[in-house]
Amino acid sequence: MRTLPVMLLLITVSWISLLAMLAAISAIILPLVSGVEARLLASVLRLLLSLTLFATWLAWIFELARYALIRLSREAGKGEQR
Amino acid sequence: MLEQLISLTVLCFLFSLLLTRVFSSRVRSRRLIGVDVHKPHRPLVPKIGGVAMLISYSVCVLTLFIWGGGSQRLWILLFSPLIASLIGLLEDVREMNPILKPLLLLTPALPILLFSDYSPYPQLPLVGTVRLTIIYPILILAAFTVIINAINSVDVLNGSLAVSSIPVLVVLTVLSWMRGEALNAVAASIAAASVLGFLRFNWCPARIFAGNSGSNFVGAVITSIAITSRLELATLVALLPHILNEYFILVSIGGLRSGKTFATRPITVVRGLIAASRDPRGPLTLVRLATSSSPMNEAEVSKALGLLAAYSSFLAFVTYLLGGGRST
Repeated sequence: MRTLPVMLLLITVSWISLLAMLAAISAIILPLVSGVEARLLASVLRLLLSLTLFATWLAWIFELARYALIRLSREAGKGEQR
Repeated sequence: MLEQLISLTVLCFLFSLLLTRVFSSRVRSRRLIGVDVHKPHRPLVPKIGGVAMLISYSVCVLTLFIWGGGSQRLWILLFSPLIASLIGLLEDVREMNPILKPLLLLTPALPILLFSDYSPYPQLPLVGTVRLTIIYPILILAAFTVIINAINSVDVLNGSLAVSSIPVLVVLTVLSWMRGEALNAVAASIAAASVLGFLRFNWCPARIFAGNSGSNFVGAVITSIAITSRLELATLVALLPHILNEYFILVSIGGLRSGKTFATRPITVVRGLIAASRDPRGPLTLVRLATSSSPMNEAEVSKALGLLAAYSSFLAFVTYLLGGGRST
């Protein structure tokens, strides 16, 4: 089963990037939720940056999975041609 | 508490085994029967295995309530899965609007919110404690509908729901026990036993399906235990394969739609083997990814999903050790 290592790698990459993304978002948004950040514009920017980071993570994981699917399918196709 | 954990786990396994066997051989109502579309002869199979799991789990939780002196926590661990499973049963007997379903799945969160059995201070690895007093109750509501739908999304092959959820329930048992949440550890262990009893008759060739009542039950148990044990992040990591699968489907098909309305199926059945669809418009799913290099039989794909869940459960354990579990 050649797909299993790829899927395990996908889960590992998702896990590492999830923790990194959560750490980054927490660092950005912490002054906001704890009440340290009082400026409205800065608060809005922090919120937008957090949402952008989360959306980027979601997009990156989906593209990674799609790339894996395309590569595996192509290799399978080449194998069938041979 | 250890003797209660062991004895109730064994009792629940035997009870689930017995009930699943009875349901698989006695249920003949047309509304409670589904078609096993991955078999050449397309056999008819009862789809209320979830009810067998729910009954065996509930009886054991009630026994724990009497045996353990009673606790408000047990009402949550009883009613959240009960509400979710009944919604699933309703969906099993009549088609439900794909927009209405996620809304209805907010209701299993109500017991936790009513009893205020949560702490809005999650701890993240590398960051520490985060204060989420306002947003946390909203996240609880969202967690139930997201996790239940994610669990439901992997219930596509014989045995796939059970083998992919047992590792998650086992790691929740261990982590709850380590955190001193003994009641939650017993509940998680009982739930794992009820799923294991069901698996005996759900493995290929399946004699019974879990149905939506089963996937909703498993999802609600996991979510209730995660929130009340304060193991949110570890559970999120353990459920990565399930959540990614649901997320990939949603993005591929462009939003909330019933699986029956897909223009292209993610997989096809060729001579009894599961093969990935070569149509680029087909939804991206873990099963399609698993079978993308060569066709596999149903049991092999289910085993792969189980292995992924076991691996992500191990990562959940590592996440907990990194500080994803809370001390308060």
